[in-house]
Amino acid sequence: MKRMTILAGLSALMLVAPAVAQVAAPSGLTPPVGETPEFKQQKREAAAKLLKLMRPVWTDEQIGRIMYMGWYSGAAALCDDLEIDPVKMTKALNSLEAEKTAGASPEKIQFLERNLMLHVGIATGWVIAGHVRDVPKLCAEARQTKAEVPADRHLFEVTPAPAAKP
Amino acid sequence: MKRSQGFAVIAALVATGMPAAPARADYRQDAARSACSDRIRSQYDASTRNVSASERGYDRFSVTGEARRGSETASFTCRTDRGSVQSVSVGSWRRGGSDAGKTAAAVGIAVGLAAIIAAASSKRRNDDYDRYGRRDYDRGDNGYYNNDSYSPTGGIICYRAQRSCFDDYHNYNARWTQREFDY
Repeated sequence: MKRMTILAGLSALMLVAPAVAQVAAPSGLTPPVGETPEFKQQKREAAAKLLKLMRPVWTDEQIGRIMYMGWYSGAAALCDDLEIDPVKMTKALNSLEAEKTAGASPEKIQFLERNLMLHVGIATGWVIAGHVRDVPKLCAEARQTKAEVPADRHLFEVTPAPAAKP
Repeated sequence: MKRSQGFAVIAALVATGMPAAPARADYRQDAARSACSDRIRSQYDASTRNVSASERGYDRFSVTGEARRGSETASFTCRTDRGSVQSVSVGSWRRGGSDAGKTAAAVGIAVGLAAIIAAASSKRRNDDYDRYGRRDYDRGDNGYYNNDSYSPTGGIICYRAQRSCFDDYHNYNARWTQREFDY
C-alpha cells in the first residue's frame, strides 16, 4: 500500500476540515479494517456529492467514464504492483474531451479541460478514500481485472512478456 | 465515523503545526525526478517538464511527465529505486501535443485530492447537503441510486445511464462494469 499517498490525502483533508483535528490520541498507523453500515452510508453520501458536482458538466454516460478512469487511477495509487498506462489514460481523457469540445468556444474548452482534470482527480480520491479500510481487497480485485480484461479495455500498464527463447 | 488511527496521527500532526510528510521524502522525490530527467536527456536527447513523482514504497518512485524533443512531445514513465533509474518507458512522439502533461496533471490532481470527497462525507452533513441534498436523499433519488438499475448477480447493481456497476458498499466494480457495458 502506498502509505504516503494515503497520508498525503488525509493531510489534504485536514486542510479543508480543521474541526476534525480534535480526535483521540494517536495509537498507531493501522487503519480500521472492514466495512461498517456507517461507513457504507458515508460512501453513499460521498457518491451523491460526487454526482452533484459532475452533473452540471457531464452526461450520465460521461460521468460513468470519469468513474472508470478514477477507479483505475485510485487502484494504481494504492497498489504497489499496478500502474496506470499513460498512453491509455491519455486516450481515455482525449476521447471524453473531444466529445464535449467539438465546436466549443476557447473559453468553454478551457472550462471543460479544467473540469475533466478536476473530476477525474476527485473520482480517484473517492476510490482511494472508499477503500482505505480494505486496500488488499481492492488490490486483489484490480489484479483480477487486469488479468481477465483484455489489455486494450483496461487502463493498467502491462509489462511485455519476455521474448521466448529460440 | 470512527477515525482511523492513521487519521488520528495526521490530525495530531496538523493540530500541532508539524509537517505531514518528512522533508527527507521531498529530497528523495527530487532525486527521483532528477534521475529520470537525466536519463531522458541522455537517452532521448529530450528535455522534460510537468515531472511528478509518486512513491511506490520506501525510496521507490514512479515518475511521470512530458519529454520534449524539438517540436515533438511524448509522455514518459520512469521508475526509480533508491535514486537509481530502473526503467524508462516513453510513449509515441507527437508534434506539439501536451497529452503527457495532461495525464501527469490528472494523476497529480488525483493524489492531491485523494480522500477529500469521501472524507468530507465523514463529517456531519454540511451546508451543501442541507441546501441541495436533503430533498434528494429523502426521496431516494441521489444519482446512481435511481430506478434505471438492475442486478446481474448478488451484491452487484448496475446503472444503465451511467454504464457503471457498484457493489453493496457503493464501491465501483470495474470487472462487472466491463462485463456488462464492454468498455
